[in-house]
Amino acid sequence: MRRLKLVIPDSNYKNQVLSRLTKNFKADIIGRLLTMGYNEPIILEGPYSEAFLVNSKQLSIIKDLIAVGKHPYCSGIHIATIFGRVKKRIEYSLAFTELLLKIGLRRSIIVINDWGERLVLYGRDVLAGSIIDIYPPIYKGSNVIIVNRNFEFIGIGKSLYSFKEIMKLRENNPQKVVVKNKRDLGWYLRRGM
Amino acid sequence: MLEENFHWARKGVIMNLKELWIKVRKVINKKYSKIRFSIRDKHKKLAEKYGYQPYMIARYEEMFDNELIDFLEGNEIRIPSSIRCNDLKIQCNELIKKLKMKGMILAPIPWAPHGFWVLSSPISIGSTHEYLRGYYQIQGPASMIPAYILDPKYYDVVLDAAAAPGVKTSQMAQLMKNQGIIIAVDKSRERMKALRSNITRLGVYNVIAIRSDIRSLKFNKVFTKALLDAPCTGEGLIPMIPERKKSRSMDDLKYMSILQAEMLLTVLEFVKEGGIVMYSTCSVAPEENELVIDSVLEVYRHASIIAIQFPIGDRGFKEYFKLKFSVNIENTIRLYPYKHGTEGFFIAKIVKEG
Repeated sequence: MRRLKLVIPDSNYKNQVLSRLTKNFKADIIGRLLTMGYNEPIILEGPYSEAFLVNSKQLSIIKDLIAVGKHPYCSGIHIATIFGRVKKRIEYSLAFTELLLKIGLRRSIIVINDWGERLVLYGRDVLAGSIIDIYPPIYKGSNVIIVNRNFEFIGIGKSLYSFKEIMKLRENNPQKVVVKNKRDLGWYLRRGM
Repeated sequence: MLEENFHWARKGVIMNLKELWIKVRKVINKKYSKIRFSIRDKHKKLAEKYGYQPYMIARYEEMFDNELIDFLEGNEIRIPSSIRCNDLKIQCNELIKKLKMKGMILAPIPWAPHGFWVLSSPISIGSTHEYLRGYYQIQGPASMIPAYILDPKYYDVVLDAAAAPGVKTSQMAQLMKNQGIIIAVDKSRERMKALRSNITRLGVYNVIAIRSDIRSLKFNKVFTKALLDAPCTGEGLIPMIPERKKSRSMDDLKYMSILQAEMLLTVLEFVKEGGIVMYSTCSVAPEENELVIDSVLEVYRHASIIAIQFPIGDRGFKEYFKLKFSVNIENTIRLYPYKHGTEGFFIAKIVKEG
């Protein structure tokens, strides 16, 4: 059984979370996110932890809940799941990534064709030949956002090659897997939450 | 300001609630003693023909009289699926264009601004890319009504007291434009996972979800509006789940009535004076509807039923066997598959008075 305890970060921890987000997604995007009012991080700690952004009203209620020993199950915007206590591995959520894309994030993105979209939504990886556009920077091992030709969010992947290598593979080896599927929207059907 | 008003209940409030629960149980027991019927050959024959338990047919005869066969026949017909467009993520006309391109035939539900019947679809409506992107939610047409009647606004603090799997929660968030606050409470661990999955997929941010039995929480008159889509026997879902013809007994009904009444009393206690509580079930059983409302209002004097103005629906029953319900019970609405083309449903709108 998974027991999670809610922690409201102190200002130091809060700054750490926000600076990590800024480092990963650039200040202007995180700035736009914070102006939506969701600027208070909360962490549900357990075997693994989950981070959410809530607004001040939600935070006030959550504090009251904690005071009587009730920990919310979830609230606001789910940012990420954090694995490991010492060396923390952060996996950004589908909802958060999709929101960043909606508010203007235009980096580390690959745009794929309809066939590629279908495969990714079934949990498959991205082939070089499916890519129709790339928004750098993309490095070997870095996270990439996968979108369709209408710029609709599909999922999150891990690039197996650098930007330049992918560009070459598109021409020379279209059947090569270039982005490993980490999590896609089909996950809502395959696993749920 | 919400921050100033959001206090926890004093011990006295909870004690008061427990006393009310004891009172309402007594009232319900007394009312059940007046539900007496004999199972005749006619009931047995119809039960065998349509696959019900005979006690259900005897009750349905009391409810539908000359329309009994119409009701039973209506339960044999499949209700078309329906979806609710999620305008938090997409404009409805854009969604319809996309789904039509996929070969779906859709028709707007006249009384549901975001609702569409899916008359035919070459693919499963629960696995399209648009569904995965949260552009729509599969939702029964009648189950869309309570949120429309409650009409929560961006400034409301709303309680969803039996929220999972979050279908109506997300509909209310949509009506509130993702503003205000919804406290979504549900007891079930598995269903809570579904709630989280649904609200995440649908892009809902204004929810605080709490896994708990509403009866064990202690809010002190903080909510401006509340929805109790109460757990029920699902006698209104027979067209979709025919197993319900056989799977519930009179004892189950009584257990549900008591649970529903206790939950409703709790919700009423948590709502501000002047606040609105919507009570709904996906059941046509008066034992889970009129009887519950009547019993609750008998012990809780600071609330009354207000009339629902909605284009479809029959009025609530005034009588059932030897039971006579309060005059205002007529202000509730009932929906039936054979008459309204929806799942069987009951809705009551209650105002908490000062």
